[in-house]
Amino acid sequence: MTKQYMVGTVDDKPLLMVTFDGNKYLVDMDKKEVFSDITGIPQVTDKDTVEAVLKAVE
Amino acid sequence: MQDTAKTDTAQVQQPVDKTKTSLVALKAALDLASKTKLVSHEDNHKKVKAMLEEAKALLKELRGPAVEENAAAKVNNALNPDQQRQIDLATEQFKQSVVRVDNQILAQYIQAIQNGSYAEAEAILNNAISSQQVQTLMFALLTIGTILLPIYARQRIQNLLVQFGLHTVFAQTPSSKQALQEQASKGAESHVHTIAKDLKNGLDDAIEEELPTVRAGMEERFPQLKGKDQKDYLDDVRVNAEMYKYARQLVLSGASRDTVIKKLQEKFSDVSKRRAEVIAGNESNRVFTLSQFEADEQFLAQNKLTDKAYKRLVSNTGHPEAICKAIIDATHARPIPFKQDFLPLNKEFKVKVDGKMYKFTPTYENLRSGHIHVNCHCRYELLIKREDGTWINSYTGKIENEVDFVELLHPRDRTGKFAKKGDSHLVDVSELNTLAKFNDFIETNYWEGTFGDHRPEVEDAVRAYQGHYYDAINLHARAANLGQPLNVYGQKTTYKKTVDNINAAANISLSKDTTLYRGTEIPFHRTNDVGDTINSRSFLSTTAVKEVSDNFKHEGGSTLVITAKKGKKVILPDLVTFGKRGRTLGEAEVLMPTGSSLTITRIDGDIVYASLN
Repeated sequence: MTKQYMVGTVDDKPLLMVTFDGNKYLVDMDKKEVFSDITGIPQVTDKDTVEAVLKAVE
Repeated sequence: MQDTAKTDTAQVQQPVDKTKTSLVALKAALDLASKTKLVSHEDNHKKVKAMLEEAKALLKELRGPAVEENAAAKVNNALNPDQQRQIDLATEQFKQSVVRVDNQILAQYIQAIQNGSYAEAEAILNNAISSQQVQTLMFALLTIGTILLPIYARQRIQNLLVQFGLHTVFAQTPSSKQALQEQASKGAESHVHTIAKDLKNGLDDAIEEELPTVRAGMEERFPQLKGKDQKDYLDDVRVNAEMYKYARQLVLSGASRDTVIKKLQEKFSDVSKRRAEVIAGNESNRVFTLSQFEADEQFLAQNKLTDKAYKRLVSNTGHPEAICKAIIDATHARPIPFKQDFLPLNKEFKVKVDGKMYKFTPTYENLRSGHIHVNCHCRYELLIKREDGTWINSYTGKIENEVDFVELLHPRDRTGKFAKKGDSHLVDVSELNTLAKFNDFIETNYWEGTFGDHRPEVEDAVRAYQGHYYDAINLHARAANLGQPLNVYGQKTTYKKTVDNINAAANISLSKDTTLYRGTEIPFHRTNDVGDTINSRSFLSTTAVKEVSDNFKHEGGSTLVITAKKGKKVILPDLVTFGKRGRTLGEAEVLMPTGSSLTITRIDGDIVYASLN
């Protein structure tokens, strides 16, 4: 399956684009960090959401 | 009823010293005119005499409310009691006309049903559109429009005078009369059409409910229905046209007919009253927005402000329909010229909200005054661009900067597809594979002026990108955060406008499939696989010369070898800015517009091959 990445949103690194539960996220698979794909690309801090998104990606 | 129609009786009852009030109004108006920078100081004085007369006349006509010292800052929308009474009376008479027309059509319809003929009943509905009732309703609509329009329009003119200090003489023009007539004609036909549709649906529903009562007759005519349970019987009758027609005939010719008529009367009586309220509210809002448009149009024309005037849609309720919400968002990001329609006529407009697609095709009238659909509760705000580049909002009186406008989050807006572009030109960039060839091409073509985009705002934006602003522009684009203000060479702008201006330079089309190069610090060869798609919200910088890309490749990073297909639009920044610095930057840069994407086709060591989508 083709994976979609967004380049350069955080530290110039290509982040995996994921839609989960109707929301779009950008995931740094190395650091296991999740970012909301909204203005400012804020990092998601809610642990449950981070876990759920990472689990969905894997 | 509109907020603007509310009467402030307390103010009206205040004793008014007309002379003093006129002078206060005049002073406030003049102060505002100076503050708003819409006209020169000299122009103001030329208008003093006329404005004084106008202020006196208006104040006399309105008989208060008193215009206070701070009136300029607060737009007063109050109507006097006489005007309010006129509006209430006209609205009530209009509602009665709607109910009367409804009842007349219903009476004819029921008469046909009593005759037992569904066909006759259908014919009444089919002919309703050309019936006398349409004329009656049209007259009622014309009457309410004729009464309300000048009241609302003069109120609007009064507000504009107080707010801008600019004088306008309002007159009902032939075009406004024609607009009212067209509105009345279309409104009447549309309403009668709706009544006919409601009646037909009401009758069909009532017949549907009576289908079980005619089962014996149905089984006699259609023996195959015998022995079926009730659900199957009903399903069979509904899907079989012949059976359904016969069942309908049985219902209307038997004892069920009176039940059907009773149900229809009960249902319709309720619907009719509700609809009269809805139509009155709808027409009132339509006339209100039309009157604002007429008043503003005359205000702008008489004060030579039409080419500086813009508008945006706003909701009166705060809960607009999906279509209106989309227009509100779009026009808050970018107001449209005053004369422009909010949506083109007869063209389908689609908007997706929470996964649901909403479609709307304006067919009823030109959507210029803010009444978008039936029972719409929107209006427009008039914005006037001032000499210093800021905007004055004619409704709130506030001065607004473009950076205050809400950022439009339409995904395509960031790809450059909405950006204004010049004509595109075919260039064989594949041949410019050495710095000497590239630079020669730029210099020759810059002076010949064949290619490129040399509008000042585009030149400045591209030059800024090539200079210190490169990082900031890309960072804001990547973070989808383009609404921020930006100062480019002394000009106040936004990241969004700058990005749009750079995208506007993407008017070079590749005449052949072309290989481009990008040296990076990003280890795509380790983080990605063949088949992955890499999207970019920022500009994607490449070079036509392989050796140049080596200068940008960091240790551990990848070199991208990109195949761009024939026809792809690219930006040659040097072609835009050569005249500003008299040389190229020596990087043979070929810039992809924002929103580009690459698909990885092969990975060989740290060289990543990709195709530009």
